Amino acid sequence: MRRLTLFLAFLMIGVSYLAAQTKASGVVISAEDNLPVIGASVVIKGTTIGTVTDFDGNFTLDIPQDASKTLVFSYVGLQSKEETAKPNMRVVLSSSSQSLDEVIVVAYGTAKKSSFTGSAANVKADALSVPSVESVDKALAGKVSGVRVASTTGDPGSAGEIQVRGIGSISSSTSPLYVIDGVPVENGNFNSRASSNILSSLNPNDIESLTVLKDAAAASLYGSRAANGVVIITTKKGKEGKVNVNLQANFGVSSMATNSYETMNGIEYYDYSKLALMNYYNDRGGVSGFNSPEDYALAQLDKRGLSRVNGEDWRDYIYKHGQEQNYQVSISGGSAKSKYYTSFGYQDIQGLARGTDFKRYSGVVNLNNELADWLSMDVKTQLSKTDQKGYRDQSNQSQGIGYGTPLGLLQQANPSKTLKNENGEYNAVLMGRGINPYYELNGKDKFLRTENFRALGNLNFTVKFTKDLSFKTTNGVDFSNAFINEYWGPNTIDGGGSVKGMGQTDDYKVLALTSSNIFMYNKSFKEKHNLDALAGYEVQSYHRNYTQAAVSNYSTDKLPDLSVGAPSRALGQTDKKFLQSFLSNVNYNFDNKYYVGANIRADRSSQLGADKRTGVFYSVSGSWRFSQESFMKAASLITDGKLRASYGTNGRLPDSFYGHLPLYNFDGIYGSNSAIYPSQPANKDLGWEQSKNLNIGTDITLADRFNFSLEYFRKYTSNLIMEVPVSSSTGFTTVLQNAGEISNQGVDFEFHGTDMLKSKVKWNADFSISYLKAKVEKLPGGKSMNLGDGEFYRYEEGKDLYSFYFPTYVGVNPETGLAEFLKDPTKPYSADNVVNDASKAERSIVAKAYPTISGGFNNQVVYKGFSLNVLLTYQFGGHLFNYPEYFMHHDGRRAATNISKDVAGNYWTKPGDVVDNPRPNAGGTGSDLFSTRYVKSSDFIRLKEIGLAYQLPSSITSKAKLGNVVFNVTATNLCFLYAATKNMELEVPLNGYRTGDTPLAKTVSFGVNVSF
Amino acid sequence: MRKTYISAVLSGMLLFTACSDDLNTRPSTSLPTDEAIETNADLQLALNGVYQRVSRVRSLHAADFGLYADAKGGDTDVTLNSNQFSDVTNFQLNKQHSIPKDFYQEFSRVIAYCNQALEAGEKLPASEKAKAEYKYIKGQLIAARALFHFDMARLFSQLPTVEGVDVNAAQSGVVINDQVFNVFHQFKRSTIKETYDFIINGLNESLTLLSKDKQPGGINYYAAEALLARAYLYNGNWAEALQAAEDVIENSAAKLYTTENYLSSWSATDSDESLFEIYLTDNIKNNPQRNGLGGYTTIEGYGEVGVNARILSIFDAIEEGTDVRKSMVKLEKNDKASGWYVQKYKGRPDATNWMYVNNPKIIRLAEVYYIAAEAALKSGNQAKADKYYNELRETRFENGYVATNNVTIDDILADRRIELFCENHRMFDLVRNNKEVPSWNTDAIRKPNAFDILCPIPQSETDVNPDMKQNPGF
Repeated sequence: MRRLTLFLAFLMIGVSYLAAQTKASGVVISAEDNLPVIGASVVIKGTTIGTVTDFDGNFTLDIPQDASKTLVFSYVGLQSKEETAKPNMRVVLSSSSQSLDEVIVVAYGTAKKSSFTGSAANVKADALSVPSVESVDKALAGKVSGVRVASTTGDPGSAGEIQVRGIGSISSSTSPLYVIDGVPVENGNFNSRASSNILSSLNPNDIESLTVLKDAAAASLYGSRAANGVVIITTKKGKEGKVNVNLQANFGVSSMATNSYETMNGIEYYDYSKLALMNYYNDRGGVSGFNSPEDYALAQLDKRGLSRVNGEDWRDYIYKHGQEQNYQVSISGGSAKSKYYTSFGYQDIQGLARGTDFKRYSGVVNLNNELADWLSMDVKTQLSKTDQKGYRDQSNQSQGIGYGTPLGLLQQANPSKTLKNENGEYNAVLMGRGINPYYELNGKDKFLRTENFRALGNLNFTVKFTKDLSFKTTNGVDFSNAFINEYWGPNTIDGGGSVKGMGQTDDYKVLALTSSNIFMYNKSFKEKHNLDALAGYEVQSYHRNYTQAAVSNYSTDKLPDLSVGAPSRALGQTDKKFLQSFLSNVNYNFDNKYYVGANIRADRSSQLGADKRTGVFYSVSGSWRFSQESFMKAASLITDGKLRASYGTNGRLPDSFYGHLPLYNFDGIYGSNSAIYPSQPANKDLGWEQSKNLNIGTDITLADRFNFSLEYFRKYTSNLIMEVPVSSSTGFTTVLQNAGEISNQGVDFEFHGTDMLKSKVKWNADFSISYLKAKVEKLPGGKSMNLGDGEFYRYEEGKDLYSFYFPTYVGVNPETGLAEFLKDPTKPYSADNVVNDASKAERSIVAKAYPTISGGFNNQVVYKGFSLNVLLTYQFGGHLFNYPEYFMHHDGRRAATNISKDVAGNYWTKPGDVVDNPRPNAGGTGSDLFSTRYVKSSDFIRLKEIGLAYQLPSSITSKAKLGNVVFNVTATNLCFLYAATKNMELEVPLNGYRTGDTPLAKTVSFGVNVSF
Repeated sequence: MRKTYISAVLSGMLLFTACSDDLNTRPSTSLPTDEAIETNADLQLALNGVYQRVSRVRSLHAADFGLYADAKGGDTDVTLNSNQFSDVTNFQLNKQHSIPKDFYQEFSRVIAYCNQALEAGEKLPASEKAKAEYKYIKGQLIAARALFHFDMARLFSQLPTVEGVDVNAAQSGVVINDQVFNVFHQFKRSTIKETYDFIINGLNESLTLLSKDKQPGGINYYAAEALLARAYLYNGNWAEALQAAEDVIENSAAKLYTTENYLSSWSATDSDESLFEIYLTDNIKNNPQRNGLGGYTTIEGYGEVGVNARILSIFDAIEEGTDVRKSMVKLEKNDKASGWYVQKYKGRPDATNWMYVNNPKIIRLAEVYYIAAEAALKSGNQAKADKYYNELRETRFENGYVATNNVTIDDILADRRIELFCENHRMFDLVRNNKEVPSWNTDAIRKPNAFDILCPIPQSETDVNPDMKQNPGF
């Protein structure tokens, strides 16, 4: 490995006179690869006398008589080390990324982990770039305590959902604030019809580190938008030294991670449907025109196109095996005064569902320049284009599963038919619709395509006025253009018939400009007093332009563009918001032992009522690094130890831009005239949602290698911005109000062990576990509310957030074969307290969705060139509502919907049957309505990632004039080690809603990484 | 040099950031109320907004409410079950059901739209308020508000002429929603008497303001007077009902259909008989699509409102070539199903999708003739009852009309049933005349005071207004 150098610089500035007395010599070696470190600095402690190592890592240094005998060895990227000077030394420097006192990126700057009084977790580059994961949010799963990640859908490019320390809100976004290179950016879902993740525009390979700010001390400098936590992303920078070229290529295949959505085969479905029809006939006492149940059933089965044979395996056809490829090249390097990092990336992921695809082209240029010794400049530019192809999905949890979606097609596909007939023509296989899924999934006759072009640019200057005082201006431009094109051709279900094809484009242009201007002061005096402070001003403007055009009545099915159809709709809209902030932060420590800090930030936002516009947020924090106390120094086992506490406030803005204004909408038409109508009532008192945060924690490091961190947190959120129900006599059914209070509290524990065995086999382990309790504290007027799809979340004071509110399903009565529900769920099961129709049963809170306990366990074992990485994630105490299975356990009621495989052989046919599914009845008995029948435990332990890498020995690579050559194989979502519920994807968002979207994929990917 | 750099950087940054006016951002497609309504022309747009709501939502006159009393009156047939409307026909509306909830919310919404516009109108400059347009618009808002209260009263309250009804019982009527209320106002129902007083007073007030000229897609003097006649009839004020109805018959521009234009009138905009007609827009964002009058009454749409065997036999019994109304029901077929449907909602000729564009005639001249006949009969004026009954019926006959003398209430109701089929009258006509309501598919009957003749007050409404009284039985 080439370690190229600071050393010219050191030769010029560092070396003063040499008064030779003692001679020290030796070699400096990197622990990581056992190779000599070229250009490492060797300095006599307390002086500027020193040298740098040569191309073989060797040094010699004459030490003056009166100087210290301690030498300080240091090198960029490696941990500094002190050793006593002697001849023939062998100094091993370990990598500073494993350093326990790392420097982490925090709000508006950096901090040493040891001196940081807040709660923040830092994740490094190598943990973030997981092949087959296209956006960094999804790579965080299991890696930070208190941070939970889930996707509503496994389609590539869809949004991951990050929630920091619980559930931030009842009806507004619970997503944290993302800050990229000092600039808060827009994130989240920008397509209302399909999940589409703006973060996927950022290539995870370009990320140097990611910090999650969890408590108020860490996050309140971001004030108004920090209530859901803050995720700070720092992109890679060039390092001083020779050109470093890195090439990376990955190729992978994927398939459904769980055995989800398995349906009955043709014979099973035929038998089941026949019985359902016969039972219907019998229960009804006959159907006119038919003489026997059998007659009736056969006639109906024939009408439905069912026969008693096994046809296509539609699940295989629809959810074909996905595949992916990923290519990256990065070039970085620089001189002492000028550094650069540039990269290009291409990623293509074909999803599980036929016709879903995600492509990204990305490029980064980051430059750092010292223009003068008092002035430096950073320029960062990221350009990316993503192209996501798929279908409408259910990520917004609207009721129903679209019949043109992959799952809708699977449910409707006739299991006794094949894809094509003997003449090679596509059979009509969708029950009741007579269309072939081919036309829905071929990517030509129907698609929903989201192209997103994004440019992020930063221009930063830092001015050093004096040694202690500096000024930094960070100016960011975040431009994105999302172009969404949806087409339903005349051959498809929705575009068929009299519609003759529908097409729609949506174009969003978003320009966010940010300027933050901060003065920083940093001084140590009388050796033991250390003070740093910052104060500044920040503004952010956001401008969004939206146009939509829609057409129908296409003149051909061969061309999908809008000009081919007749216009039906055009919309256009421009929105703006603006935020102005003053912020300040002071930290003081005495002797690196006692630390105190305070933040304050005042925000003014255009999104609030004129009188409520200003919000002031603050935090105070302190810590005691008790390991620095002399009485602790003796306890050599504890090499570092700290107690810390913080308290402070954070805020959140409404999602709506103009929620405070009484508005008339102008988009109405009446006859041939225009019409206007009231769209929202006045709410001039709409103000900040505010959370108060308490955090108490301790960090202990044993024997330099075992690091423990335990934290208790409590976040109490009041003035929740909610849609509060009002009488419709006001003209509105809800109004946006500050009302209601919720709390989240819990415990986060992390353990990090570095080189735990201290042997040739290096074992690093990271373990995290979080406990969470999220509660509704107060609701407007104390009134409970039912929200969500089918109003099945119950919000009741004192109860858990995301409490499921359903009739209680008891099971199948073995004598009658009927489903049984508790009439009154507060009373026990008895003959009087049973109904067979779920709509006649009372609802109650039956389970909570979010998991009580969650976390991850990562192990890395390194031996010679081999490195094995195993990540487990787990969660316990949560539940999910299995919406897809609700459709597929319809007990015969839905004529054109296949039944779940688990029903086969497990449904009631005769008295005495002890089974899980009731007697089928084509007329429906209310047995299949929403109830606890579809509420399942989401407990699991999952083998989330497993990776094996092999680095070619330098003896081989150096002959080929190469640097590192690493081969790797990585698998994600390989299996559940434990799953409370079988054959189901259990990773669901905290709200426990298992949507009808494509479940997560398991992927196996092979890659090679070459640098030179 | 150094200072130059610094100041360059700093001034650049300040230039970029100093613009605090941006804190007052405004949407680009909507305006605050006071900026939205500054002239009579703006106020006219707000009035259009009221009518637009009626034209586009699934619950009001262009959709569910346009067929409500027919389905509950036992004359329609659930020919196809698309799970959209059949719960009305089957009397399965409970307090959580979305149909009564949408009735309540949408009528309340259009009433509130009227109140918002009336309040904005009060704030117009005196110069604008002095103009005639202002009076005409204000009159329409007041009349529309009264009509919507009347419609809510028909849905949620007992009709005043039902035997044994106490019109002064507390919370037996509907909410009197006559101003812009604070969003957290707690509402209570009025009595039936207060409700009908409010409706009648509102319509009378509107007559002092409205223009007698045609108001396309809106309410003029005679439309309001016709609605007033209907309100008097429902309230048992026979003399007043007759007087108002006669004024409309004599003085309005509307004239009865003829046998020549009877069939084509249904797809015409502003037909001869139309006194108040809502214009539907040929744009799926602005009409109720399949949940409209057209979609419910065809085999090609949801097809849930067919022709029941009972009334079909009456149409069947009409001799060919006599009463033109015989052809208002037809057997419709496609490859999947078949059934009898009313032929009133077959779309405007210019519509892209005929099923979606059917203007509801909220009140038309034929109904005013029935009102006149019924009010005359009940006030003891048999001659006038005969006159209006025969005048109307005669226009429906191609040949062989024989006048009826000494018409009875049953004669009037029987003809009304045929003429106004699928125009939201049948159950109301039975109930207010204290007649039993038959079931569409069984021999069961309901008394006029049966609890489920009414819609329940939706639970969402009693939840936010805990003092509001629910209808008994729900």
